[in-house]
Amino acid sequence: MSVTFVGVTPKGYLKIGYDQNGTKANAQALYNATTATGRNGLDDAFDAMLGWFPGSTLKYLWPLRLF
Amino acid sequence: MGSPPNFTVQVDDNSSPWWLIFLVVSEVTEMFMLDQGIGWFSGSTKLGDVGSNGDEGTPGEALSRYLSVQYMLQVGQLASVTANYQGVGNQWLSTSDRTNYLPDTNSDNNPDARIGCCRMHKGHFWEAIGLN
Repeated sequence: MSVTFVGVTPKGYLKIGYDQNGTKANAQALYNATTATGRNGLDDAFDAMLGWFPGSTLKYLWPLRLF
Repeated sequence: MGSPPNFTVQVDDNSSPWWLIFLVVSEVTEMFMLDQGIGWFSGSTKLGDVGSNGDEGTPGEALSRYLSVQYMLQVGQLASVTANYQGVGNQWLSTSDRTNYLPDTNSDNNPDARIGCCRMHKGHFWEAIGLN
């Protein structure tokens, strides 16, 4: 399964997708697992990254988009 | 990573959410390097200004690998990703001459001994000496 994230920009957002080797159900499950847990998902990872790179203005909008 | 920044990570149907998070941290940290604009990227200084030769190169790849492992340690999930992770430190340690690649600022971002050297150096800085 290919998971594609597109457009992490100061005004962008992430997208999650799948290809012919994966299924929408699996992509949906992965999406749910990484986002539905609230602070235990990618939010915490982004917070950590913001702390690692002082001076960066990179922001993100939430949640991930499944397409 | 192109402009605007985007990337694709390859996982399979059995991948864990932690592996996905690991890959996201690895790749998005490189976007933060670019956006920070202090020289991690060759040929570019800011998001939206990615030159044709702009990538994280040897030092940036090593840093993203180091930080993604650090994040997994922070959340207690390193064991969830070690089966998938292609380590580079041992590649450098296994070379006969252990060449010093630290001055190397080329655009190599493949998992090899060159990256392994820089990865080990970052670990030494932050873990043994305590610098950050």
